[in-house]
Amino acid sequence: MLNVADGGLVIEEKGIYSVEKFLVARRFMYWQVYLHKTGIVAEQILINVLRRAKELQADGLELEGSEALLFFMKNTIDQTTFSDEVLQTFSELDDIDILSAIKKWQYHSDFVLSQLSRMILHRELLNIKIKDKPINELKFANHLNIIKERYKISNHEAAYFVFTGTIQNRAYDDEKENINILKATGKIVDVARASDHLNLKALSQTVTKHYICYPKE
Amino acid sequence: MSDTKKLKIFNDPIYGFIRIPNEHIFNLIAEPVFQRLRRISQMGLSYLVYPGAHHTRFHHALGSMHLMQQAIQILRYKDVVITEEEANGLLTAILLHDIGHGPFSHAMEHSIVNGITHEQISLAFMESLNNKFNGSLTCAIEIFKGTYPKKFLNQLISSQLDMDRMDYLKRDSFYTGVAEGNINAERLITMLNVADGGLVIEEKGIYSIENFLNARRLMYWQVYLHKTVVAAEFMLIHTLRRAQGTKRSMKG
Repeated sequence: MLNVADGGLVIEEKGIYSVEKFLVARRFMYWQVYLHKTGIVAEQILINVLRRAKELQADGLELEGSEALLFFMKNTIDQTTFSDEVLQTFSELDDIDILSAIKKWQYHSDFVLSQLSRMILHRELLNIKIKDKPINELKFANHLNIIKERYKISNHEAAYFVFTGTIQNRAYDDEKENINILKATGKIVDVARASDHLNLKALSQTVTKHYICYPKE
Repeated sequence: MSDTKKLKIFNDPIYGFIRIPNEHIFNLIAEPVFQRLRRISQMGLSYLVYPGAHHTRFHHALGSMHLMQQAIQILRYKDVVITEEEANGLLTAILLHDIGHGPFSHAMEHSIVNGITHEQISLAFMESLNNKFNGSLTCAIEIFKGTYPKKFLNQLISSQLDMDRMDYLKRDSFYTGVAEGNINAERLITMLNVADGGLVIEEKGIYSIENFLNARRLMYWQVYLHKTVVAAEFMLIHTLRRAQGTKRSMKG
């Protein structure tokens, strides 16, 4: 059903139902899979493991790991410092560097780093609650306090275990890179307008959800 | 925590939803020694030839357990007596049957440990879990070892036509994309019965068995013993031998 009209990619009119199905499937995959709450929490723990590792490194603590990984833990690399040499080091990294580092770090003397590493390896993840509205600040403070007391750690350290965030998805963005339908008359119309599927306009809305993570009892 | 929280399901690309039958099984799956199977590849280095072959022993253990649930249901339907304790023993034994595998198991059986099989290590894990879970794995261990009086229970775990083989053939053929290796596990299980205390297949299942044996043979030559995989595995074995010390190395 693909075609090119006025130099841009279009879908021929009879393909409109396939496009509808594609957009609905995409929305489904986002909420059911890519933004699955357990996937979110596991990813956030991983982010926090690396954040903590970098923090410990900056404080001068010993950290084990492959040379390539330790390079990126020691140095803050941005666009201006991303040289050919850095590219070479970057190319040595893969999942195995991260996983083997986490396997070492589960025995690190730092409570936050070892605990977070173990959570990933043993799949003992944090609780996650997803809400339509922003997380109540009192509730957040309450969870944070519980963890501070339970583990006898600082506010800063507890924030590695108790945190909030948002997830969002827009099934169809009608503002950029539109999907255009080529009508039999030669006219080009945006799919949301060409479709008689009532939901398609609703799919152009951005849906935002809020989450809070905290350790299980 | 409420009980319903423990009734989790897994989404499996081959069978669809896999139910966790009870809390005991749930607790075993949650054990770190079991979760570790998520990081042990089912087919070792075969992904160097078949890029899709990245499934793990975790997938396979759950799949075998799923087939065992079906086998128990079919046999009971045919008035074969399987008590609740035996059913739980079967599910536990099949879930843990491969827990003794290490990384790149077949390549490494000679490098990581010497003269000890993965079955023996599986048994050691089961016994350690049995201590932790207050003896609730005793029946499973007897079935696994083949010391339990009902012979067919052990045959469901370990024989020429057990749930282990059915799942790994189906799964390996799915993930490698070698369609000829596929088998009809559901039909094979439907044809299961028990006669003279042993596991049998009813006569009308004979063509499914033929197909199963053919598929198995094909998978061996085309996939498991693929020459490139064999070469890669030897290179891995030699790497480890070299790491262990030059004196012992390179004797083939």
